[in-house]
Formats: sequence, structure tokens, C-alpha cells
Amino acid sequence: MLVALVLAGVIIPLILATNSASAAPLTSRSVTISDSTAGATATYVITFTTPATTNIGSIKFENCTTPIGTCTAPTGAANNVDASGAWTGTNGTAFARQATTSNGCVIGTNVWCGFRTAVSETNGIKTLTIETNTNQTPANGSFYLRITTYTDAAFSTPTTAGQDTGVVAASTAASLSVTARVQESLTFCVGTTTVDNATAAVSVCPVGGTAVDLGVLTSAANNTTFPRSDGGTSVNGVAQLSTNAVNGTSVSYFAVQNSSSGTMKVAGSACGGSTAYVGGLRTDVCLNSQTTQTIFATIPANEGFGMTVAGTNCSASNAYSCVFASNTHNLRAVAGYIGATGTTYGTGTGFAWNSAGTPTQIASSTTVVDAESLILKFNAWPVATTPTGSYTVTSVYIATATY
Amino acid sequence: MYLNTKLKHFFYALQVFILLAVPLLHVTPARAAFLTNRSITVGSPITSATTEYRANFTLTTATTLGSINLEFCDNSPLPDQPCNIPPGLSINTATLSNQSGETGFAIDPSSTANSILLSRPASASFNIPVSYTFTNVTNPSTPNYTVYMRIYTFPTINGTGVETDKGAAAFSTSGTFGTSAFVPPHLDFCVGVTVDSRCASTSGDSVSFGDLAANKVSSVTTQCAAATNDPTGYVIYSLGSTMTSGNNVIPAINSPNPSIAGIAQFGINMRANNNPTKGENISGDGTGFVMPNYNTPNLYAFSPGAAVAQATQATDFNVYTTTYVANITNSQPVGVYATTISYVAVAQF
Repeated sequence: MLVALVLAGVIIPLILATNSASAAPLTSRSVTISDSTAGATATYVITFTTPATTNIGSIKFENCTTPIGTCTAPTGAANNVDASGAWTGTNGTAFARQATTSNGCVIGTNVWCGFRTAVSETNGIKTLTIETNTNQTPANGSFYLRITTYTDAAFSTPTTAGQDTGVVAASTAASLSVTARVQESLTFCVGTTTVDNATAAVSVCPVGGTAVDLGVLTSAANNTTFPRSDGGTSVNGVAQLSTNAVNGTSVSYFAVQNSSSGTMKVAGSACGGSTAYVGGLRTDVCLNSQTTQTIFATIPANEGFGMTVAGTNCSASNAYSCVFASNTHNLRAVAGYIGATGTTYGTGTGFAWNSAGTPTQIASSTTVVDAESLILKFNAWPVATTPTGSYTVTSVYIATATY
Repeated sequence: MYLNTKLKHFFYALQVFILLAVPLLHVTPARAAFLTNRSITVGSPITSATTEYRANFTLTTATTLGSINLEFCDNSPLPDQPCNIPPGLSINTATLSNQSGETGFAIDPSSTANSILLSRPASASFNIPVSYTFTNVTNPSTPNYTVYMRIYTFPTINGTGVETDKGAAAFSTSGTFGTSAFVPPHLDFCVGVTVDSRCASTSGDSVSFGDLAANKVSSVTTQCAAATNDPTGYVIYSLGSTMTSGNNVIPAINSPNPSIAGIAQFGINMRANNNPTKGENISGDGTGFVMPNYNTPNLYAFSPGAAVAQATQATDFNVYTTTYVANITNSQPVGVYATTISYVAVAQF
């Protein structure tokens, strides 16, 4: 009998202990942390699967440095803040925070306990969301959330078969700082193009072509018509700019000096300027430069040469909405070289030319520019006495960007 | 023994000092601020041109300023990147021709082909716009080529140590293009009953005297205009014959004579007349003139193929008004008298 009692005294506790340890664990456990930065305030979304249908009236999670054994709070961790733990399960009633120690819930800064009226939960995926957690302060360090469910609301009836605890692992992460710098950029080129509008595709830099030939000039026709039919090359000039200079860019030109002037003339000739036109006679082989923007008459009383910006072609621009007709282009002709009023492409407001060799601004932007192209048109008008010959002038274009 | 103990204590103390002091000695370099409103203005972007560079920027940090380094690279504006020298660029011979804002700088002899070091005695600076102009710089030799100018400011006078401010700007060499045209030899000439002063239009190609009579003078006019860029000018000829009707003829006036009613005669001139009141003098900006036989008011002549007007140099337009007179005697046979006068302008070029 004594032996039997002794055996019973040994065996029964073993059976009880075995029953307690054999409860099925919560499965498919995971935790999603809104911010894993060490010391950050984050929301923990704990997900797990309950293996059997049973009541759940209270729940606890502990934040520990190890998955098993005595729970030591991670340095800096604070989890006992959120007043209510949102729950997703068979019954959506949230768990109210248990502020004081109660049965299996031993309150600490790293422990969050919640309770509600016990209701049946069908086995399946459950989610507990706890906000306002403070992550542990060590970076790149693991910590473990131990989860326990109870069938009553007082943390006193922890487990039945199929309902138990589970552990999920998490880690803080060192923040990774990614830096980069966009360097100053400027791409500017000039050339020629067969495009004579603000929309057709213009080549991107480097734009080819080095000559605009107006062909045979007459005093009775508009010599800027396009395409040229009098032996010209039927091309316009183009100056294309791309830059990330946020403080704007200025585009200027100057005429290369030939025999002391940048006038459209027979190379090597000296020019007499407007005074050379006396008594109906041109005494020099130079076309007068239109120092101010001038609309050339059908039959000019005096000869002239000039350039104008017919429009800004946006065909190569991609970084922003650039439409000349919609006035959304950034590179704009300046007064004196605006070919047409408003957003009209053309030459209706006339031509101008500075032959002095000093830079003259023709366009500017106040911000960045992406592959916008100034279409440059030229016009040369002889008069009856303009001496025969091949007239030419070379111009140079400068873009000055301010970063 | 006592000495060994003292030495041990000394070294222990030294170790402790080093352990404590080393972290203090590890001073992180101050991060340089970025210069603002950075730009470079190039006098001429033509490849290999000798030109002027003007560097503009605003100092960000008000502190001691002793030197400024301007470094030109073709690969990157970033100060921590290697710098490739733009081919052809030479600033060895540059001259500092102007400076504003923070002044007192001179080009340091240590400057290289792509790096200019400006130096001055170190002194306080302000966060103000500054500008430095260099002449006699040779551009890179590649067209349409982007060049970066890196800018560094230093408190030291020789560009050493940690920079105070830094930044970069960019410019591009530029291709050029020529504009050309050809002015051809030309002779502008037009004929009509009336013509525009610049031959923009003409009207009419025939005139009529109406009924001729012995007791009156009959007259009509036509016009022509001419201009040329021929340096030797032009000559206008009148071709045709006097007025005829079959075998009947109204005789031409062989030499300048007045128009007289009752005398059979046909002639022309190019002046404003009052006998009859007809015609106009030459007009226009040109330098043409009427030939002597046709240039006296009230005197007329007609010689088939004769030169009637001329310009001896390139000339703008002149308008010539020709007055025709036709008179008959009482014995002039009945008939319809007519003639065709053609005007031809000739330039030699």
C-alpha cells in the first residue's frame, strides 16, 4: 500500500506534468514590426494559428532575450503601453490591457497582457496587434515574443489540448543610410536641322551640321521661307540645352569677327555700315545688320540680315511636360529675338543681328532644362544694288548655367 | 625594484591616458558647405580659342579665407573624384584680370594646366557673391564638350587642409555654324504704261494718240524703271521704228527739235515738258540718267536702237517717263499709224 502510494505520488505528478507539456503549440507564428530600427516605436502584429477550437479569454506576450527559459527583458524594450490589443479571429472583440499582475500575467515593461470575456475561437489564423511598443536599443539584435493564450479572462486557465504557447523571433536592424549626389550637368550643342516647327523630332546632342545656306537671295522675296528653293540647304539652326542648373541658364551668341566685323558679307571685306547706302548705291559687299528686331518688308527699302528664334522645340524633352504651344517650355527666347508673339511658331516679329562680336542673349531659363531646342531662323535681304557675291557669317553660341 | 614599480605606474598611467585621449583626438573633419549661385561665364566657347573665363559664386561660410582653387575636369564635377584634364585646356598662362567680392588674390605659382590656385593673406571673409576673371585661357580642343569647374575655398593660403566651401559649375565648348547666301548678278528692269517705283508691278502695254490732226500736237507717255548691282551700271536702248501705216510714214525727228503742230514728226524724250505739257523727270534713288538727245525739255528725237538712258555704276531704281509726240501735216495719208517700241536694258557684269 505504501509502495502503491509512493508510486502513485510519483506517477500522478508525472502524468499531470506530461499533460501540461503536451499541449499543441500555436503554429505558423510570425510577427510583423512596423519599424525595426533599434529603439524605435513600432506596432507589432503577431500572427499565429490555433490548433483547436476553444475559448480564448486572455492572452499574454512577453518580450524576451531568449525563446525559452527565464524571460529577460531586452535592453530598452517597452511593450506594456497599448491600452487595447486588436484581435482578428472568430470573434473580433479586442483585448483590454491588464495593468496589474494577475495569475499567469506577471506584469513588466516587456510584458503585455490582455483580457476579454471568454468566447469560443475556431481553430485557425489569429492576429493580435499591439501598438506603441519600443524596440530594444541594441541594433541588429534578436529578441523573442513568447505568446500564451488562456481559456478564461483571468490568465488562470492556460492550456487545453491544442491551445498553448508559441514563440516568434524578431530582430532590430541597424538603419542603412543611402546617400547620393547628382552632379552638375550641362549639355549644350548647336547644329542644323531640317525641322521647321516646335514639335517634330530634333536630334539630341551632338546635333550635326555646321552650315545654314540661304541660297540665292532676291530682293523681291522672303529669303527665310522654308524649305529653300533657290539653292539653299533648307535647314535651320538649332541650339539644344540640357542642364540641371536650378538657378537658370542664359543662352547667348556672338558673330565671329572677320575683317573687324561679324556682318553677313563677302569674306574679307570691309563694311561701311548703314552709311554705305548713299544715293541708291551700296559701296560695300556687306548686308546691313538689323541691330534691332525688324520685320523685313516684301521689297525692302534697305538691305538687312538677322536671326530670330522661331520657337522652342520640345521633342527631345522627357523630364517634364514641355509643349511650346502650351507655354510649358523652360527655355524661352528673350525680347529682340522672339520670332512670333505668344506661343506661335514663326518669324512674324522680325529678325535682329549683333555684328559687334560681343555676346548677345537670345534665350534664357529660370530653372532646369531638358533637351529643349531653340530653332534659329535667318533672313537676308539684299536690295537692287547689293553687290553680287557669296555672303557669309559665322556665329557662336554660349550657354551659361547657374547652379 | 622601486624604479621598476615607478615605471610600471608610469606606463599604466600612460596607457590610461592614451585610452582616454585617443577618442578625443579622433576629430571628424567638418563637412564643407556648398557654394551657391555657381557659374562660369566663358568669353568664347570656340574650341582652342584663347579667351576669358569668369568664375562666379557666393561664399556660404563666413570665415577665414586664404585661397581658392579652381580645378577644371572633363569627367566629373564631384570633388572626391579623380580629375581628368580636358584635352587642349591651358590655364597656365592665365592672368587674373578682375576680382570682386573677396579680393586681394593673386594666381599662385603652383597653378597647373587645369588648376588655378588663388592666394592671398588669410583674412576674414563674408558670405557674399564673388567673381574672378581670367584672361588668356585656352579652351579645350573638342567641340560640344562639357567641362566642369570644381571650386574649393580654404582658410590656408596654399590650398591645403580641409576646404571651407566647395561646389562646381559647368560650361560647354560649342560648335559653330556659318550662315551663307549668294547675291547673284541682277538687273531689275520693267516697262509699262505705268510702273511701280521698284518694279513691283506694271500696268498697260499700249498707248494711243487718238486721232492725229495737223492743227494740234499729240502726245502720250510710257514708263520704265531699272536697277542693277552691276558695278558698271546699265544702258537702256529703245528699239523699233517710227509710226507707219502701210507704206505711209510719219518721219522720225533725227535730232532734238520742238514738237510743232502741222509738221509731220515723231519723237520722244524723258523729261517733264510744257510743250506739250507731258512727261516727268527721272525719279528714284538710283544714279541713272537720261542720254543727252532725250534730256532736254520740249525737245524730242527718235533714232531706232539709240541709247536713251544709262547708269554708270550699281544703282538703285530710277523711273524714266518717256513722252511720245506725233504730229502730221494736212497731206498725211489716211490710215492707222502704229509702231512697237521695245526697251532693252543691258548690264555687263
